[in-house]
Formats: sequence, C-alpha cells, structure tokens
Amino acid sequence: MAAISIRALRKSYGDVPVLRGIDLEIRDGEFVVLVGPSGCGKSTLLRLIAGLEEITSGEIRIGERVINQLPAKDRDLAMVFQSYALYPHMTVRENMSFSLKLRRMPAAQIDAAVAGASAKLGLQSLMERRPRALSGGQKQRVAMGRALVRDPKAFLFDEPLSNLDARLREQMRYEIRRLQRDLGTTSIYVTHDQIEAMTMADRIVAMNDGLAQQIGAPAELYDNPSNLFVAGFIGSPAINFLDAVLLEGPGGALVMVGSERLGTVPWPQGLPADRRVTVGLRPERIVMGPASAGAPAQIDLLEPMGLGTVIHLNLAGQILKLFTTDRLQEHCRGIVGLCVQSADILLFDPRSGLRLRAA
Amino acid sequence: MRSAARARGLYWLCHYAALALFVAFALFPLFWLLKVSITPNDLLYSEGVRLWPSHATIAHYVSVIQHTQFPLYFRNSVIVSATTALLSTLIAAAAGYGFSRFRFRGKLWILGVMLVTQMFPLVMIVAPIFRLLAPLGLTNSLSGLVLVYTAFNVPFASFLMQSFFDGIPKELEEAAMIDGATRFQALRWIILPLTLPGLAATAGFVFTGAWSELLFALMLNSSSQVSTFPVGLLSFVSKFSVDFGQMMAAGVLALIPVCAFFLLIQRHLVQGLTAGAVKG
Repeated sequence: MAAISIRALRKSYGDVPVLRGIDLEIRDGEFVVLVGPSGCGKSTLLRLIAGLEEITSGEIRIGERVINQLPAKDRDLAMVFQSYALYPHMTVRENMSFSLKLRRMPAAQIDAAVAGASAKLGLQSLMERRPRALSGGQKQRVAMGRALVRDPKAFLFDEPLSNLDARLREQMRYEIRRLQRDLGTTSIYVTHDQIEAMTMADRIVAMNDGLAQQIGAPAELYDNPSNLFVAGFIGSPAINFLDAVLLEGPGGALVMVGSERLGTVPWPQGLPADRRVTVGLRPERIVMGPASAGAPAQIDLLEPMGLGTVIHLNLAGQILKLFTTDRLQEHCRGIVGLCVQSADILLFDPRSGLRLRAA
Repeated sequence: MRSAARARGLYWLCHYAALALFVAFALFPLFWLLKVSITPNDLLYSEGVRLWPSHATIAHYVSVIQHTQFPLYFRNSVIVSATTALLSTLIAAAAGYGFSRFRFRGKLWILGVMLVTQMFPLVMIVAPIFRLLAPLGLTNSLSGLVLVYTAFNVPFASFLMQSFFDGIPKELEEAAMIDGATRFQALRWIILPLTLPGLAATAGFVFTGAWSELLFALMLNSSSQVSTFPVGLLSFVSKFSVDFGQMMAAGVLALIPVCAFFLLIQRHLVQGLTAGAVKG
C-alpha cells in the first residue's frame, strides 16, 4: 500500500498530445476514479502509472520513490484489464499463482494465498477450469483474484466492468468497493460511466481533452462543478443548460430566460460584458407548481422511470428536463410554473465554459 | 417440417459428395504412385490401365533400399529439411515477434524488401548464388543447401509468424509484465505456449518446401554424396528408359517422413492455419 503522486505529467504520441499536464495526489488507501469520455486520456494515465507506456515529461511517485524509469514488473502494482487478459492456456489456479511463481514464493505460501483470494471471490469450484470455460462474470472475478493474491502497492482497474451486463455490473461494483474497503489498498479505477464513478469513488478525477477538469468528492463534483464539462458529464438525467441574461434587480441579478424570470442570484465575478450566461439546473432541483407560481413552462413529454418521472418542458423556447418522484397523471399537460432555489442556479461563462461564482 | 429435414439431409449429402470427389481427385496421383510401386515390371506395360495389378511385389522397394543410393539421399534430405525447418522457424519466430510487437525505424522498408524477395523466380538467381557459394566451399555441401533454403523461406515464414503473434492480444503480455515478468519471461511462459500452433504450421510449411525442392539441390550439389532425394529420383531416369517401379517405390518411401511430420503436428496445424487465415 502506498500513496501515489503525479506531477505535471505529459504524454504525447508523436505530435499528438494525449495528456497535457496532470497533477494528482492520491492518498494511501484512497479509491480514486478517473472518469471522462473516450479519448480523454484516462486510460493512458493509468497505463503510465502501470508502466506500460513511457511518460513524455513529468513525474510519478509511488510512496517516496520516483518510478518514471522503473519497468512495469518492478512497480508492484496489480491491474485488472477491460478484456480481463486471462492467460488462456492456464487454469484459474495457474492464472492466479503466476505472479507468485515469478516471485519464487514457496509452493505452500502460494497455495495459501490463492486459497485466500479464491475464497474472498467465491472461485473455489472453478479453480481447475480454463478461462474459455468461464462466463464473463467469472472471468471478471478471476481477473480480480489475480490482482488480489499478492499484496500490491495499488490496484489499477481499466474499465473492468464494461463487458458485463447491467445487473452483474451493479453487483461487481459493490463487491469491488467492499473488497477495497476491507483491504484498504490504494486503488485507481478508470471508467467512462459516471454512475460507476459516483458510486465507487472517494474522489473523482473528471478528465477531458488530456486535462483534469476537476478533482473532488463525488458530491462536490455534482453540486459544485467548476465548468460546463463537469456539470454536463456528471449526473443522470443530465443537467439542463439554458441560455440566459442577467438583469439588474432588487437584491441581486435577475436570471432571465427569454422573457421569463427564473430567479434572483448574487452578482457573479467575471461576468461577460453582455451579461449573457449559461445556466445549469439539475433536473431534480426544479420544483413544479401551478402556472401562476413561477416561470411558466409548457409540458412536452413524460418519461416514467419507475423511481420517478422525467418531464420534458419548454421554457421560453428552450428545452429542459425536470425530475420528480411525485406520481403524475399520465396525460399531464398544459402550462406549469417552475420554481428554483437561488443556490441551485449554477452560472457558467458560455465562451470559456468556466463557472461564474458569486463575488 | 419433414421436407425441411429432407432438404437438410440432401444438402449434407451433396456437401459430402463434393468433398469426397475433391479428396479422390487430390489423392488419386498418390494412389497411382503406390499402385505402380508394387506392380512388377513385366506387368507395367502388358496389363494396360488397371486400378490394381493382378499380382503385387515389393521387389522395387527391396532394390531401392539395397541396390541404390536412395538411403543416402533420404538421410541427406532429412538432415537438410529438418535443419532448414528448425532454423527458419526460429529466425521467423524472432522476426515475426519483432514485427508484431515493436515499432522501430525502417520497419516498413524491411517488410517491403522481404516482400520483394518473394517476387522474382528463383531460376534467375541460381547462377549468382552458385558464384557466391562456390568460393566459400558451400557448393556440394548440405550446409550450403540449408543456408539457401533458410534464406528463401525466412521472409514468408516471418510474415506467417507475425500474423500469429498479431493474433495474441498485447494485453496478455502486459498482464504478465504487471504480474512481475520480464519481457522474456512473458514470451516464454505466456506467448510461446499460445504460438505453438503457429510454430507448427510454419515448421511444416518450411519442411515440405525444403523436402521437395529440386532446383537448388540439383544446381548446387553435383556430387551424389550430398544429393537430396528429389535429385535422387532423377537418377531413375536414364538415357534410354525410366525405371518407373523403383522411382515410384522411392517416392512412396519419401512420403513417409512428411506424413509422419504432419501427423505429429496436425492437431496444432488445423488450428494454426485457420488462425493465420483469419488474421493474415
């Protein structure tokens, strides 16, 4: 177990920059999730940490040691691949003991370690099978087992659940998290699925375009995104973005969507000269009432989800979604009034995408 | 329902009939080889064309083994073909691994030049090769043949091996290295066992090629001490007659090692050739 520290890390393939300066401090025992759309550099970052690619510039430390030049085999990390990468000609037992054999561990110790790991994952009855005779979920477990047998400095996960069906994914999410909690091993987990990131992470690194857009606890990224990308990427159903203008009003700035007044907020810093902003509204933070009670919006469509309902609305020509757990009439239509708390109105600069915060 | 089952039965019947026809077509010359080899000389021309002679003899085999230099040719062929297969496969495996796994300067050029070597007919270069080998004392020697065969087999064998290595996911090696293996250990314990079918296919391909090669064997080696069996077969053709019986008996004997070799590797081979086919 160890802390991992990444400073000014850059990686390019030829002239194409993939990582454009990443700084990240991962505490000992922390579960950090790298999340972002494909091509954002998250897998490359993981592979750099694993030692499978050479870094272009910057520094990676594990514990106190700089490991920039250290070959993968000497970094003492364990990795779970998206394709599982189980050795097809070896049984489950051989797959799991391979790393220990390479370390010339005595056979009795290997047996004990493999038995321990297989018990944790419920693999005992599969030990003599070969990977081809395993289901996807079982392969996933074996890949986990191969990482668990030795006591590595950190676990690296490269989209380990993306080949599983939804139900199994939910279960493995829980199991991985529980195992990590019990073992207390530093873990870095790469995914493009923001729900995995939200549910599993101690801290999330939201990545886009080779940069860490925001690093923080899941709730912080959700409630307090620092730019349009993070706000839009985290959360499902996704956040609403509306074009708005700020006007002088009593007690602050009036947020005007078209001709409709959405609410009053404190004047933000760094407001563009034309006072045009992008407003971010979480669908579940919008309250729907009678037409007279707030900004009037036309109901377009209902999407029942069981847990609640997503309501598609039209507010002054702009489309937005509202999420509510209230049971609604199926044929609910007409004009409703929308109310939003001042604190739930997130303002962004439409050009730079940066969050505009109150002075 | 009933007619669907019948249609399916008919389909399979035609399927197997077509296969049987092809197999018969491919194997008939071999059958003829066997038939002539056991036909006594006096019946060969007198009986006309028959599928099986009225009485059989092993006299041709006895005389091939006892009274000709065929056992020597046979030994030479085994040495040359086996050594060529071994050397070519080793070199091709190393080259194929390199081409498959590493990016290096000039890779495209090397691949291109290797491809070009496969493009011109060998007859063109027999004379230059002879001129090159003669001063080195490599004509009239088995090593000379091995050298030439290996040189001409390595490019294609390398392409073949590369396609096998390409078929093995890179992640297996990466997983092995993260498990603590050096590149060599990953190669030895993970990649090599998975490439056995490819190695078998390549070795088989090179072995048969070398086994039946005539041009260089004839041109480079004039002494009968270092002749291989295809050259030996020509010795049954004399100025005035062809001893078909002995020639065919020698041919049947020459088939034995090739068959034995393929029997040995056939389990790997089917898998290997199809894997290569999909990838290559």
